[in-house]
Amino acid sequence: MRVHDFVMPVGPQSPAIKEPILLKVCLEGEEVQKVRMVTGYTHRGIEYLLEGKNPDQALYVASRVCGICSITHERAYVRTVENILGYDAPERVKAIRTVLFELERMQSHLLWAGFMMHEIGLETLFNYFWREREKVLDCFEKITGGRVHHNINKIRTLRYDMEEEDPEFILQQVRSVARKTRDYYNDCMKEEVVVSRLKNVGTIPKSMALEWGLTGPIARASGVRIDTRKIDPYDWYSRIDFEMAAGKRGDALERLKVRLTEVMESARIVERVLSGLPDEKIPPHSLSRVEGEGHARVEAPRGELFYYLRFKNNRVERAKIRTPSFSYMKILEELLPGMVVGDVPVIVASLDPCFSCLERVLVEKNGRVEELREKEFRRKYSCPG
Amino acid sequence: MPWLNLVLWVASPFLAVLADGVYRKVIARMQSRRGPPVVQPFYDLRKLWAKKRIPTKNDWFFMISPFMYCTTLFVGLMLVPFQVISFPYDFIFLLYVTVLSSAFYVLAGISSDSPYGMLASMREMRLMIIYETALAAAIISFVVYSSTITLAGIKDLSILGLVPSAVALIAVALVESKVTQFDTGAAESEILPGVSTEYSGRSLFFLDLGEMLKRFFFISLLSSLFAGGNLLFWIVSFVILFMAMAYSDATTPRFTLHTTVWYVLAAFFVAVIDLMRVLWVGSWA
Amino acid sequence: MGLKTEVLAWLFRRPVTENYPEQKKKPYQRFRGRIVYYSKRCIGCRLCERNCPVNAIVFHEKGRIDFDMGKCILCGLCRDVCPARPKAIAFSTEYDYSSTRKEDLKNLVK
Repeated sequence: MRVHDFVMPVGPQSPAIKEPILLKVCLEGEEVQKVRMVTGYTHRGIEYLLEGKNPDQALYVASRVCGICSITHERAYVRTVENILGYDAPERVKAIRTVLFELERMQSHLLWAGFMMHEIGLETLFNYFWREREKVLDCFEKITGGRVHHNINKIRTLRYDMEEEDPEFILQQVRSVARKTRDYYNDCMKEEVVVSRLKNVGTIPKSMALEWGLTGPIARASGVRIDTRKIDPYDWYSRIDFEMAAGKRGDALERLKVRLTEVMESARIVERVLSGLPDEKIPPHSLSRVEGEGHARVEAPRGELFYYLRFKNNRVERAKIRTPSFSYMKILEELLPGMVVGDVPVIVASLDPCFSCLERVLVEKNGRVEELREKEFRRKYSCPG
Repeated sequence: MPWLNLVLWVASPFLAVLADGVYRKVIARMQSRRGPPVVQPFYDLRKLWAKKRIPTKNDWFFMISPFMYCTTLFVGLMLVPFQVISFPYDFIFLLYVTVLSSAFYVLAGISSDSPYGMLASMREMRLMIIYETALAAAIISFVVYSSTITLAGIKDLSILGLVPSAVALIAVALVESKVTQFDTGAAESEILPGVSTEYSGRSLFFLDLGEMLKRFFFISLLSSLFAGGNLLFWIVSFVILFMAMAYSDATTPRFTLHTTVWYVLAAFFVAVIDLMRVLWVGSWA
Repeated sequence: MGLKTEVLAWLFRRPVTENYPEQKKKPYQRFRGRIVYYSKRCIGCRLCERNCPVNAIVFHEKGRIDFDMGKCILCGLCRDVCPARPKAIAFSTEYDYSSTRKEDLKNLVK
């Protein structure tokens, strides 16, 4: 960076960007010339923390990787362990897992939608979306006992079963949320200012999405039709017919569309699953004994979440978590130049990064744990590649 | 009754702060929230007054700009609506005071030496060039229409004859008060903390108080122009403008700088054209 | 109902804000709040201490166990593995137990 560039630091504490990231934005007037990203503010060493724990303990640590999509981490972990054990859960367990998974997707997208509206300046919709999100969180609290960290998945089974009145309660909340979301979605699309602020902003063309290995709503909005629920189905996704929301242009408006459509689609999935809930008892939970290695992936609200676990003597020897937000860590450096300053938070927000999921810097080298400095990390592991 | 006006003028900062509290409450209710108590801005300001000022620059402008921003608006309030004094061509003085307050605002941003402040000030300056002229044109239209040379002589309900100017004035008032759509101009923006980045303690007190005074000042100014001397019309006009401002704040997202520039340009043209119309019509009489 | 009309409608409705702390919401029954330790039911097996993911449990003797709520992540594994019937560990619905002193962050004992 030349000395006379006007550098405006955005973050790590910024009212604009809600994630702890430092973006050094080089400006010339109002136009962004170059962006340098500095991360590492929420690195907690989760992979290291997982090592040495027995399978049930590690489940709870893994679920706390992320606050917004916590059940997806639980589910991915459990899927991995069940793959290692070669175990296929009973149908009711699978059904309930599907319901909770989709509820989490709804909750995460509603949180994002509120956050997006806040970046555009429409505070009212921010409050309205979060008000709807509270209904979903209520469902979670009733069934699992936790609003954010649910901890209901257990290896081979669930911790609690749904009570008699729970399906009705869930349906009532979910239908209300879906109805309101549809209304607000239509409002957004009709509101010219929203459209003009989001259209053709932060466009990720299909080729770029493929090259960078993007997954999730971002890839789908760019026209790459991938969804782990379709490619590698788990739980009841192979049974339920649902549509994959996708767009073409790959700009922020398309991402808004895709995510809000997914909320409504999730509501439909929940309805379908609950209408066909099998009537059986779920197995009681117990401590497990696991040996070997395995991997699994699930479709988190942000994309494809991949887990690899290796167990030795019933302890986790190595865990590798690859979160969906990881792929688009550096993409901001490509997207932002050429944009106006006002678009910077809009673009960052439209990507829906989750930096607490993202921070993974610990690398084992020749049996010795080596902590990389940011420069080395960037040199060795930054995308693409 | 000049004494009553004087008392009201001295009390105007309190009225302005109270108005801000009501504004926040109304917006919160519209967003289905409970909102802060109506006296919350008083608490905020009192807290700021007591805090230590941490200067980032030992600059005379840095120290003095927020205070001057506040004071110029306070002087402006002397003319409108309280009419403590009234003299020929006082509307020119009013325009001067308004532009001066905006200039001090911009100066506050630039002298703070932070990238956020400077960026915010640059944007504000871009808009200022256009909207101050629009404001001038509109005010002159009203004065000419009422065939008066002082603000006190504005005819009651002069809005009825000057609808385009009124519209332009409302547009300018929204931009100047930094209602959400337009705060790319300066403070409270997502992107930048804005002009007030480097200010703390008493300086920030004056900046915040200035913001509140500005909003109050503009709604009062518009009410005085639209309704003239009649107290009932003035109050009605004030309430309507206030609610309209709150409504537009809650339902419109933020415009980009580019759009805001076009918006104030449009306001400018409307105001100028209406001024020409008024002058032309007036030249018959 | 469009956004513009809904905004006006909310002016006349009661807001959705819960008036905490005057009106504290009572969580659902399964909510994992502050830990309750039933000292009489405890059999002293130490399974909870061994399985806690964050080592928040300190075993002194049968009937006297400290759960450090400051470290506790409220996962519930201790309750799951407790072999006593009825279980010696339960979760209350108390969620606002923050304190200004670290020593105060302890479980409830019954």
